[in-house]
Amino acid sequence: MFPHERSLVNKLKDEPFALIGVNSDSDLTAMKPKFKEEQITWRSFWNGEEGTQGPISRAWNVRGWPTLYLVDHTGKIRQKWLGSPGDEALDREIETLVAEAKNPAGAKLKGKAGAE
Amino acid sequence: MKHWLFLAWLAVAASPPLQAREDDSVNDDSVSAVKSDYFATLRSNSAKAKKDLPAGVQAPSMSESELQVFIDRCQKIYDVSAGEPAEFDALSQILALTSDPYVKPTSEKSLQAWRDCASKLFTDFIDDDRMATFVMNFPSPAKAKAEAAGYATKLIRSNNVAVKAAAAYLSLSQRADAAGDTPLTPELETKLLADLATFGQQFGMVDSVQGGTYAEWTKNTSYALVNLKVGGMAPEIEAPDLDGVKFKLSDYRGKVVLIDFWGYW
Repeated sequence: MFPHERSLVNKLKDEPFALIGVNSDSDLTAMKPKFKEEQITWRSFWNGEEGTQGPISRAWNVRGWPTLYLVDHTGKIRQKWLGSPGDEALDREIETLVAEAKNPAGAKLKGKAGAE
Repeated sequence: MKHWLFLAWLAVAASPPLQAREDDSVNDDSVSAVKSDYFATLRSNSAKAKKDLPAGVQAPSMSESELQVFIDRCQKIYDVSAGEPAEFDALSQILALTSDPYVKPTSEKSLQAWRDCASKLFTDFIDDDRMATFVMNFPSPAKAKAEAAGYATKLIRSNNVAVKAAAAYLSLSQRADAAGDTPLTPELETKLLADLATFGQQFGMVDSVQGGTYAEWTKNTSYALVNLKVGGMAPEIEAPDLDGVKFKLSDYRGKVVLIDFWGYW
């Protein structure tokens, strides 16, 4: 997923969009050089030393990796996926919500508003 | 193509006739031997197919008659292993063989073999510990999905609490997963929450086949149903980032946020 996420972050850097990770590696010190290699520049919460059993993934009932939640500009959960839905579907959903965030009054037109 | 079919025929023709094996007084065959021969046949068939067929043409990975040889071997093991662990293994292996997507379509004969074995397994072993794990993922052919679901439900009548709990968990977790994809009406959500609570009271102390106890699973699942549904407000997250600096999910209010639970491992 990392290459596509990198391009998402780049493409939407001037838009009301943020990619926030919840990292579930238990040993951060060992992993940090790898993150640099993969150019994972976006911000992540750390799930703690318990790794995949950490408090955030437990609170969010995460049962597989990756799990994705898409939250709109008002803080509402709009989509969730266990595993990536595929680059195109992901982009489409994000763009629809970004259009809503930029023009809340036009939200009724969603679907059309999201198309490029 | 013709060459491949001939080889498949040869493989079947060369296997010893069933009658001859019936007379053997010593049976030193085992379920693990059947499994390994089965996969060896799959591998060699697919290697042959690759060699003989034009690229992109899909060949059947195993013929009906090749498969039947493996089913018969398991049947034989079952017949001589009453009361031994191999009895259960032989039945469950026949279910796996007759559900196999490598042989298409499932013939009436192999469907019947699946039915016979499923019926035996879910009757004779209904109180057996092994059923708790087995039922979570038990193989069934496409034509028998409804029957398979019926067998799983039947385990709720087991006298073994772990098996009983597993059967109840299976149907509840399917409902909860479906609710994750398509939000429930308020009435159905209330009903599912009530069923989860009943399940938690009844089986909370039992160890879940997925790890942890069923009490933990019930608690997490009920919470997710109410607080992590599509259309509901995302719960707050407040935790340190990878450099140890605390931040909050709500800091990003006003922006669309993709939350990715990831790990490098």
